[in-house]
Amino acid sequence: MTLSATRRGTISGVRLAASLMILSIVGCWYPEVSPRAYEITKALYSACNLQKTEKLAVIEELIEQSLDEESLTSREAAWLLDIVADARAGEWEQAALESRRILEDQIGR
Amino acid sequence: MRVCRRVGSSRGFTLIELLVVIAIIGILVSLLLPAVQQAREAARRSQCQNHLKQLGLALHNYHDTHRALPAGYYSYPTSDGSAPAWANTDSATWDGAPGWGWGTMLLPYLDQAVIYNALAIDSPCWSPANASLVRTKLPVFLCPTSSGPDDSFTVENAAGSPLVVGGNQLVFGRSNYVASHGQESCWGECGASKTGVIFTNIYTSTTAPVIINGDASRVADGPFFRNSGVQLRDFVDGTSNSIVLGEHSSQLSDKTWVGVVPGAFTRPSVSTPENGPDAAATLTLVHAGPSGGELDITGDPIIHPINFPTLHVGQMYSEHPGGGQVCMADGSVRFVSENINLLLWAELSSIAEGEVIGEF
Repeated sequence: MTLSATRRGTISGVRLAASLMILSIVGCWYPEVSPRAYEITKALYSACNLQKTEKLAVIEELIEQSLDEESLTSREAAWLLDIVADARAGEWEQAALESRRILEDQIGR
Repeated sequence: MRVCRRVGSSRGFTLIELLVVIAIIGILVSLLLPAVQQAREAARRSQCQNHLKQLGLALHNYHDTHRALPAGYYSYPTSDGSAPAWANTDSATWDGAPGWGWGTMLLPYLDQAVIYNALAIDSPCWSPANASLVRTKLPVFLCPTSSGPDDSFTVENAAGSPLVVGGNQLVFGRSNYVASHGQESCWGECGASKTGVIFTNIYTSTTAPVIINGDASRVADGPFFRNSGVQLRDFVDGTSNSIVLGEHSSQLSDKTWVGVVPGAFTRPSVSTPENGPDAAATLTLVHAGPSGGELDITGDPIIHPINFPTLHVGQMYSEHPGGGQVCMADGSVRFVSENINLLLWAELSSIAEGEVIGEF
């Protein structure tokens, strides 16, 4: 027995919608990060909260160093450097919220 | 007379019409539901604010009577860790009998004089004579927004098992409100240190040793600590600029209005990469950080304002969206954003460091 074209279309539509929904949900969360990334994120939140430009340079150095030591993955480094870039662009509040999100997404892990 | 009747066309709704009506109702409900939830939360927040206000007024009434605020909790005083056996003094923290906390001391000023008078206040708070009363559920100590349990809880030890004192397990009444110890925390190893603790300057990140010898006042820079008896005149930073009480939802950890039991620990119900159990004093007290030289990876002090996602059991924690409520020393109740400036939060937590407090 074969499905009609209309029914097949409906099923693929539902699948697409479900996939988009799952993707959007998954995309909203940061996965579990390494202990090093967690420590750097805490410092980054503090830097953004207090709008300390000089601390951003120290954090950038730490990120590079941690990448070299492989205590930080390149994906984690990219997230953190994006936040640093936001902060450098004067988007302190956005940067603080994003670093806070990383910390919040580690709750229960 | 001949009546013309249209048969079949207007007897009911078609399936399409029904589905459209249901869809419209669904959309309306989905639009309305968040507003309803917000209104409900606003009502809960208002009730929570009222509870904190009552606690703040009770503190002032207590002060009027005793010329000082109650202690964070009362413990047998010792400068070398020695104490009589009945004091049940903990060798690590030097916490001992009677253990009664600030919440118990406020009972007569919260219309709960009956309970206070019935307590064997000269006996320790863990005495069997007090067992039935200390588990009383007191609504004034509960925030309706807190999604955790609001019933009494079993006091635990470091291993997470029920703490047994004199052969008995202890069940204490819950509190969603905690008292501020200041920036530093003088409990756990810090409380027992004979040689000193590192005191951290929040602006310079410099540290300095302080000799404690059981005297928490040498470290604590907030209004409540072991055997404190702070007076309103001690609030040099200003009573409107100093936090005395705040929220701690039972979703994070168990707190009580009763007091502190030597050997007890509070444990987080929710784990994060760095939180864990903390010493007995956190049954009634929290601090803002930094403490004992807590520095982040760049060497700056770690400050954890309300709802900070590291979720220490020794911090304030509220489930109101966006922040939480605190009671200032002047009795006012303020809502504080969880994104508050970290230094400002630390400044608000200490009472006499001469800090200039900004707007919040």
